[in-house]
Amino acid sequence: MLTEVIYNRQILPLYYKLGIRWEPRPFVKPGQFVMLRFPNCIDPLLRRPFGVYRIIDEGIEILYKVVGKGTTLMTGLRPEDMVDMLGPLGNGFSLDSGKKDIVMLAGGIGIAPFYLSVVSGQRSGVRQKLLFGGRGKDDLPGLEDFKKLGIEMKISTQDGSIGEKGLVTELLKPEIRNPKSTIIYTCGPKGMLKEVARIALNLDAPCYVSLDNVMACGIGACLGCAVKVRSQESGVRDQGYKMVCKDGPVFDAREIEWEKV
Amino acid sequence: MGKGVRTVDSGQGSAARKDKGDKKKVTTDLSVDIAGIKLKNPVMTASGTFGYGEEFAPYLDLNRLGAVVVKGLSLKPRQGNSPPRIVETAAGMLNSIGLQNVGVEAFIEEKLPFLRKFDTKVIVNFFGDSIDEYCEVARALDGADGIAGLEMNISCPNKQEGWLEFGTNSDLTSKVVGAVRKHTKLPLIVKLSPNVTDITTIAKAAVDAGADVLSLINTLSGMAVDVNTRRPKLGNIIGGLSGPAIKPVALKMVWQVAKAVNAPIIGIGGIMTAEDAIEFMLVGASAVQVGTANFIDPEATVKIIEGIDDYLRKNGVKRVSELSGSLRI
Repeated sequence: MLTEVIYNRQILPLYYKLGIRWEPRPFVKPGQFVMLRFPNCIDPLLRRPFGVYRIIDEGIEILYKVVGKGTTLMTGLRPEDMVDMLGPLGNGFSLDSGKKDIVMLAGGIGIAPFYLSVVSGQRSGVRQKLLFGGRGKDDLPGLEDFKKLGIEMKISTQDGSIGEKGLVTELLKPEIRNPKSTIIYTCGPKGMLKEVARIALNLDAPCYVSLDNVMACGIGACLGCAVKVRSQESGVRDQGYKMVCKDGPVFDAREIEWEKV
Repeated sequence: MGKGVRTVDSGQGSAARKDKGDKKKVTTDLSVDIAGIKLKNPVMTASGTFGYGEEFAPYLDLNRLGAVVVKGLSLKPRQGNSPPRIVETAAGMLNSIGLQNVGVEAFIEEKLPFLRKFDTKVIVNFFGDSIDEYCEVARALDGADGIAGLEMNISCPNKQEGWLEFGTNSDLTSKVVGAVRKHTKLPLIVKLSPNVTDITTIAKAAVDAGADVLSLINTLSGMAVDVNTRRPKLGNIIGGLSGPAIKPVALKMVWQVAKAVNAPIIGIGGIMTAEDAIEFMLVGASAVQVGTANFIDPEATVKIIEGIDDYLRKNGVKRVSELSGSLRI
């Protein structure tokens, strides 16, 4: 659908918040995404996927990082400019955790799906903790929003400019006191996801990862965003591919063939 | 083109649209007949860009389409290539999906019943890695209910004879099309590869061997490189280029082939708008397929159908078939 930009605010050198009109307000599950393009534009040609960060009065808010041609052009969007939006898409996090403690682990722009999931968790009264990491203090977009939510949080940066110095994955293990009663949700760079999955699989703690991938359609038709999966039950390898857009973006960490990610 | 074209001044288009009463007077006929396949309009989906139809059902009424051309089928299911499978390029995209598909048996049992519910022609794209496999798939599809025609993808390597792509050689094209012809009574469309020295020779070979219709072009072979990692951007190193970037190339090839053979032609290549589709018809196509545009806008086909209808009204053209080959030189 064609809709209007409400605002486009720079929050950190490389991060922006884009408010998009969507009325009546849609029902979006935490972890779902939308695909955006400039109307009638053929270069850039394809839509880009963005996780829905927050629901706002007049629609949704996207958190985005400037990484390439498309997102660089997006920084020029002004209020009342039109964008072409498709969504909400994907499965999202299944938040029926069976009263388990939730540990969320986000790296950089990987924070995007967690605002909605924290809000949802607070409503259901489940215990949640957020581990948020980045390269430096300029790589923790939305940090203030999470402070306002009052969620229990630990921060780390690789350069030590804020929080603990080191990788956010190093914070994970001490948080898993009882793997049977803890569920891990994670989103971020591939290396981080691999490490989180490795730790979770070793501890036998349930872990759900939100994957990012290049995709053309977002609706399961182009088969471009394939990710290699293994059979969950037997552990047999080479079970083919699933599509990040339609089967995901959220997957059980046990399902993914991590060596191929 | 009919006399009507000249009586309508091109500048009147927008004025005529505003006057709804005036619009009603013009009845347009969008239907086309392609080798006995009667389509309600000339717009089909290109294979590999529309799944098996069901993926798009939430976004548009499949009954509106001229035909659904489904994702290419092989005898057995195929997993496809290692990622990354797609990369965007200037006004286009490269893909190396690797012909991932459910296989002909699962298609007939699980996908075709859904498509039969619609009043839209179903054209099944298929391929093989040997002449025998092509024939076997064609035979299986020939017996299935609800298929209006077959489209052969001949841009596949021949496993039995040196991995040469069937569609890049007129002898191989002739052999594989001739063999398949014996195994199906359905209208047979042969989809041509643009990665050849002279597409008209291949086109002639296909028609002489029994193709009822030609569709062109398939994707242009291409690649992209990441200068930071010095690696190819696609897992498969090379892929097929599609999208607006290839339209001028496709248009020229359709024009060339239309002059060289007598069979009806389906134009494919970077069609994003009704204007693009009309260009293909003017140079000689009887119908068109919309591909990459489906990824960008799931409703693209319907918008193109409406745009063609608008064009006919504005230009006083009664039947869309009058456009085919009406290029003025």
